[in-house]
Amino acid sequence: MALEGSHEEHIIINGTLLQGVQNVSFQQNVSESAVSMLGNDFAGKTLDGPTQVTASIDKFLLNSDFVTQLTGLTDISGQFEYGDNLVDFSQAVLNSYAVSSSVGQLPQISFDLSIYGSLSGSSAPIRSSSLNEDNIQNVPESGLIVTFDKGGPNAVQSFNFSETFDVQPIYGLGQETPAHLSIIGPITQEVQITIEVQNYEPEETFSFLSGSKDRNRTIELKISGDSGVLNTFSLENGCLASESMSAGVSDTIIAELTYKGYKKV
Amino acid sequence: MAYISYKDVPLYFGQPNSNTLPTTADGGNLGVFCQQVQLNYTPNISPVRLLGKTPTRDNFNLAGPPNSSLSFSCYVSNAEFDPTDFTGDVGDLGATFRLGDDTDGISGSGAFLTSFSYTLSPYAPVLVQCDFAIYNPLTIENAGGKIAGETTAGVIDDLNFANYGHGAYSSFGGTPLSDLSVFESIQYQFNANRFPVYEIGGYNPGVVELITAEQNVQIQGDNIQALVPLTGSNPGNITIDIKNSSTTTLFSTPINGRITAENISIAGGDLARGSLTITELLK
Repeated sequence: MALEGSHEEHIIINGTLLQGVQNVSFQQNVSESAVSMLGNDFAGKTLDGPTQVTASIDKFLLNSDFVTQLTGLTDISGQFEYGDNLVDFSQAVLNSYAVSSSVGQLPQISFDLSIYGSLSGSSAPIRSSSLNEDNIQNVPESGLIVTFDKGGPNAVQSFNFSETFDVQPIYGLGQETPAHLSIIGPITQEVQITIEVQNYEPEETFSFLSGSKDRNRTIELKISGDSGVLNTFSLENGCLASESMSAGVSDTIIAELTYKGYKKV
Repeated sequence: MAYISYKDVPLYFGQPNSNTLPTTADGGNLGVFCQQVQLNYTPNISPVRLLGKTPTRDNFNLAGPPNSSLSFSCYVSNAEFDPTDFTGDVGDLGATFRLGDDTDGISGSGAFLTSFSYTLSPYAPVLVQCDFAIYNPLTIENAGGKIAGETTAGVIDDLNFANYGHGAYSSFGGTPLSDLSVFESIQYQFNANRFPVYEIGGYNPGVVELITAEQNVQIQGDNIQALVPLTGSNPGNITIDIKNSSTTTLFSTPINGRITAENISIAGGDLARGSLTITELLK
């Protein structure tokens, strides 16, 4: 039966139906290459690596997010339902997630997963037995609070936070799925902040040589809704990775700051 | 003469311990699913200088049998070239082979396997490296073979996905190694030392003796066996079965030797890994 629209599409992860989903995509890349040999320029094809399967999910961050609680797990499973069709996936790992918020827009979060198990069609829906993610709430702009070292009168225009995990699968001989899945530390965090310049000044170039330079900055984004704080994202042990300032005719002065932080697995 | 493409230069063997050259007909050869080949040929001649004579370009004498070798890497498949057919004491005739055209190409006989090796990795096809010593002269005439394209099509069959050895289907069995459970990669090596005995009045060896042979396997995985005593340790009989997607065993390499090396590597940002080497003296 033909799909009537996105209202018929649902994604369930680890038994929880996600709310506020904007985009879902699955991709499967097969590692096959042509075999050439003496006496035969195309003798066939060979499989030279595991099939790379990934999934991406974007959703509004208007509730207490469920998926970020799955960081560190190596056996995430789920189902994508679209119309009468179902796709199951198993043994997935969160590769990264990114939160973005900017003036005049709803905060969003996107997830990238690698699927090391199977991606396959299914005939057994699980939506009716799954739990619902927390309901979406009203998140006003005043509910987005950014705490960082260059705040004050410099108004934050946009804030992006990401965490990236180094997932290492190890395949054993004769095994289709990894015999071992590890998340190797440290977890890499990055924050990008755009501010309207009021009294901001770049950090002095040679100050980065100093041993007393602050390399343990904590930067935080709190997202609050009607019921209070919904999500908190913190960059730990952060240091300034880059900063830029630009001014143009008929425009305000904008500065972009990038911080990198690392935390233990 | 123009260059000839690799696709026109097949490598194919005759049966082990036979002087019969392979033919281009299907069933008349053991086709090699060859990725690359190297043939080295050095006639063993030495200069001869005589007192009272100015040397000329012809003052070279035959000083011994030529040094010839054939090295190649190949996939393994059903009913075609199998390196284990050429290991051990395989008689005195050796094997025959052709490279390229069966008339103008290079043909050889008296080829004996001196080593073969392969690396077995998950999700990777098995490529076997083979080294043959050629004890018979490639030619005793004024002119011999050359790179010549084979005019008969289809000497080498297509490589059927279901037929060739692959790490995704191969297995590592026998006595379990008590401390290793994940086998990331396996490197196998067989070496043979052979001695051709040439006889007066002939170009070809009358006898080829297998002097020594040994095999070793290096296993990389999640650990090592507990550190072994100074004298090594025998972990038991281990069998590596090279299989295809039909789970047909193409060849097996059982090894029952001693652990001769254990290595651990740990790097920041990575997992701890162990590898151990088992060596078996076959002769």
